[in-house]
Amino acid sequence: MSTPLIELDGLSQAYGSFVALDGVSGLVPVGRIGLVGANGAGKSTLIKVLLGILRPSQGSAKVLGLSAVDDTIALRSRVGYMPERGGLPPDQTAADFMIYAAELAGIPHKAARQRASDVLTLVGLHEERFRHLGDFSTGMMQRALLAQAIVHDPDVVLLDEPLAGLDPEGRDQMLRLIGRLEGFGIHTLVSSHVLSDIESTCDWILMLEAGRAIRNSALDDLVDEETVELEVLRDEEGVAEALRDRGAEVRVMGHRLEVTTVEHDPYDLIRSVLVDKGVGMRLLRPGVKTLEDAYLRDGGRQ
Amino acid sequence: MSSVVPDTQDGIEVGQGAVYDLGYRPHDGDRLGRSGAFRAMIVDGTRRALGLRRKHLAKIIPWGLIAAAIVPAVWIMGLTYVVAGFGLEDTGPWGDPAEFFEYIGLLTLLFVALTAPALLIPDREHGVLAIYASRPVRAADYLLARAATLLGLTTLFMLIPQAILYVGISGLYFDGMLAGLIENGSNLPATLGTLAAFVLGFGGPAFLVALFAKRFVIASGVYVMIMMLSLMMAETMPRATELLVFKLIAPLSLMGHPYSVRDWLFDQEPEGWALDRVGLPPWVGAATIVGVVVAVAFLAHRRYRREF
Repeated sequence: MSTPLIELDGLSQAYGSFVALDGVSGLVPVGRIGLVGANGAGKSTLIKVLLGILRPSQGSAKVLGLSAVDDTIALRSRVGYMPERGGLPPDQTAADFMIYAAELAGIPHKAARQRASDVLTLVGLHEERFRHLGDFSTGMMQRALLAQAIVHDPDVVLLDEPLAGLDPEGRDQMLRLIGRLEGFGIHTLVSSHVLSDIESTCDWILMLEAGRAIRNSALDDLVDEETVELEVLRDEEGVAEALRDRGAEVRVMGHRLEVTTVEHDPYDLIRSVLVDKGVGMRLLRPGVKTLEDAYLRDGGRQ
Repeated sequence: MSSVVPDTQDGIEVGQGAVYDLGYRPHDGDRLGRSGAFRAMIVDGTRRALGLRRKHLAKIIPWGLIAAAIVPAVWIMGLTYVVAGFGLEDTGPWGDPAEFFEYIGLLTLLFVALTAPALLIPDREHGVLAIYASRPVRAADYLLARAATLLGLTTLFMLIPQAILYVGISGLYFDGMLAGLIENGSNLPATLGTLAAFVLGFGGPAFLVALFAKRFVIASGVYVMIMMLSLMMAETMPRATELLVFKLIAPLSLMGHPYSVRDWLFDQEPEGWALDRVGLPPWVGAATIVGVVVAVAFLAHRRYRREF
């Protein structure tokens, strides 16, 4: 495995008596990472720890091999951050602020001007570059925030609720922009409590619940090999009964059945039952759980 | 990535060209590190304080105050040249650098009252500190850059009119400007020392108020009120009192200390500032100014260390 994007080792963070992160450990590979969890699960706290803003109460955190506590300045040279709220001075033009945001990361003025122009074009704000940020709509502000997060050419960007407050069209545009970042060599950590957005953007999930990591896995791992989805043409109750008789767990949803079995190969089992009952089928596929299913199940276990 | 536009469209010949999507280009040039960031913060602070690259409304007050500081100096010199002609060495009270501090001091108070909040409050209130926190910048770098901007601009605000007067008065000398510059140069150490006392003495408390205030207008108002109250305190303090309580209270007269330092450095008769009234030496004023600046630096770092 190459240098992980994030390494967490027994990471805890408390605000007084409130524990925001409770012994979070794990390795997160480079790529498009989804940081999911309910409001108050500890997502924003984790991002602040990764940026070196908060010092962990216990444990350690590394980003791209750099300690968030000991190598803060070196780390921040390689990281971009899109905060959940605020971050834009309303009295400055988009172009001026992008230049400033690049210069703050040490980019020389001439190069900063060029990069500001490039990233504003990339996020679709080139025409608006001389407008004051205070006159921007919510969608434009979110795009400007994303632009400042990448204007200094970071290796990784931490996006804290980048879709908050956006209308469906704005969400779609933002998701497409985030999806493009990997192609530019920029890894992303996207924090959100909207699981479907994460599902469509990310390839790895770090799931938090009440300050604990309840899942840290590839999105593909949500495919459940023991479960198969089946859609029959008729007699779904009869098919379900026959499957249950042979030891399978079956959930009936209209014409669709979710079949889970640990004793047999589910495909063999379904084939023989359908042959015996003389029932045709319309669909047969692996039981892919949604992130929401996984969240509810994993969260429930906790 | 590029694509070539076809040279015919529906059988009609069209101009040939290429559409380029430059996409994203990584930065492979130099990075200037924290020094580059520091310089950028100074430039940003200067623009913000003076309303540069902002809407016109933001320019009115700072540039109005700058005009109010410079125009009288130019006016005094111009009037003296026109009315008296060359050869006059008496330029009236405002031609004296020590006296000019009397006028510029109040303007400086207003300038500082507006500049300190402009440098600190918008970043905090609009969440811009989160952006600084994602750059290779420490809280100390940010605060140092903001303080340097405040002190630098205030220094220029006071220095430019004094420089106009210094050069202008020197130009009136019979023996030529050089002789005037040399003779008036004897005032330079006292002028610069007094200027430092004003810049630090007014800047420190303004920075402190701006560290904690949430609104720009409130910060300016509270600062001016504190300074004016401290001046009133000096006015109401009994003269030549030996009571210990007054000796302890007198250093709180923040507004009066730069003037005490001025009287001290220019070797003038004290004008009845708080320290003079209770019989404390003027260096106590200078020491208080330094003490306030150190305390403000400490509090500023405590206030901002959790933001970065």
